[in-house]
Amino acid sequence: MKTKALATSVVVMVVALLAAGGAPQPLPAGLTGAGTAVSWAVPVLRLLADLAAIATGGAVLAAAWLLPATKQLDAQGLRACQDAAVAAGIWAVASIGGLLTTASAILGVPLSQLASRAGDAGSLNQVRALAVAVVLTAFLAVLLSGCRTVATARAALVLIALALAGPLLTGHGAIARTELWPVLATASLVVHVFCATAWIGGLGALIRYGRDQAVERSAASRWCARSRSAPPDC
Amino acid sequence: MRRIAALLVASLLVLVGSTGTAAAHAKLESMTPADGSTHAAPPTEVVLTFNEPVGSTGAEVQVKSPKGTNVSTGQLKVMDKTVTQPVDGLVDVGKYTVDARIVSADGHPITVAASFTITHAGHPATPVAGSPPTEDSQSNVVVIIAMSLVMLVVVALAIVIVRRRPAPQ
Repeated sequence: MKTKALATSVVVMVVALLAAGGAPQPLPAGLTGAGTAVSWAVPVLRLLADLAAIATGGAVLAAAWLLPATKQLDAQGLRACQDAAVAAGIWAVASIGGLLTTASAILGVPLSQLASRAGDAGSLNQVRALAVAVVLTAFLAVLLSGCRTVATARAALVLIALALAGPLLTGHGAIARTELWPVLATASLVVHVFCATAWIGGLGALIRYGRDQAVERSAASRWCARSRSAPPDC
Repeated sequence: MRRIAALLVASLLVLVGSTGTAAAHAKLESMTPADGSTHAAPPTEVVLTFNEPVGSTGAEVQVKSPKGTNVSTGQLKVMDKTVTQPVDGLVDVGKYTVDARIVSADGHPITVAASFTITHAGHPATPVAGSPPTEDSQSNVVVIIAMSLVMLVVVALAIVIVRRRPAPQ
C-alpha cells in the first residue's frame, strides 16, 4: 500500500517534470555538470522529504490536537508519535541526501569531487537551508520517539513548521528579498505549504489513527467544521 | 450553485487563457555576438544576458570552434544578469557553437545552446598566465559540519529504532 503510493507519486512527478520541461537536460559534450543520476536524485529526494514531512506533520497534528487526550497521550496518540518519529527520520535522511545532491547539482561537479569544492558548497543558501532542516528533523525524530505528552507533541509541531519553512525561503521567489512581490510570493508559498501539509497529513492521520468510531466521528466533524471556513486548498 | 460553478469555470478559463507559461527559471535573453549572426572580426569575449540575475557558482561556458576545439580562455565572470566568457585563438573560419550551463538564482541548472559565425580568422591564442579552469575551495570546516550532520542523522535513526522496540514484559 505504502510502496504503491510512493511508486505512483514518483512516476507522476517524473511524468510531470518531463511534460513541463523541468526534467534535467543532457549536457552538451565538454561541459561537466553533476551527472544524470544526481540531477534526477534532487527532485526524487525532494519528493521523499515532502511526503515524509506530510506524514510527520499529520501524525503529530493528530496526537497534539485531533485525538482525544488530556495531558498524557493515549495508545493511539503514542502510536501516532512513534510513526511520526520514523517519518521524521526518513525526512532527515532525504534532507541530507538532498543537501549533497543539491550542492553537487548547483556547483556542477560529480558527488565524488564535492569535497574539493566544499567551501563553495557551504556558501550556497539552498545548502545552508537544508543543513538547518537536517538538524531540525533529526532532533524531531529523537523528540517524537520519546514523546509521551500532548505538550511535547505541540512543541514538535513548531519544530515541524520551522523545518518546513527553511528550504522554501531559498526558492525562486526569494531572490530579491526587499521588493514587495517576491516577499508576498514567498510568504504565500509558506502559508500554502503549511496548510497543505496540515490538511493532507491531518486527514490521513485521522483515517489511520481515528479507528475508534466515536473518536472518528467527533474529530471528523471538528475537521469539517474548521475546513469549511477555509477554501479547499486553504 | 450553478452560477457559482459557471463563475469558477469562467475564471479558470480566463486564468488559463490570459497567462503564458510560468517562466520559473532564468532564460537567455540575448548574446553578444548575437545568436546566429555572422561577423568579420572574431570577438574577444562572449556575453550571455539573462532575464534575471543568475548564480555565480557552477557556471560553465564552452565556445567550440568549427574544428571542435574549445576557445574559452580564462575565468568567466558573472555580474548580475550577464555572464562574460573571454575567448581567444579563433583561428578557424566558420560556425562557433556556444554551450553553457548556468545555475538559476533558485539553484536549478539550465543549459544554453547558441552559435555565431566568423568570416575572418583571428590570431592564435596568447597563453594565459596560469589560471586553473576551476579553483578548488577546500574547506575543512564545511566538511566537518557535513560529516557531523550525517552522524547526527545516524544517531537519531538509531535512537528511533531502539525506542520503537516494544518494552520487555
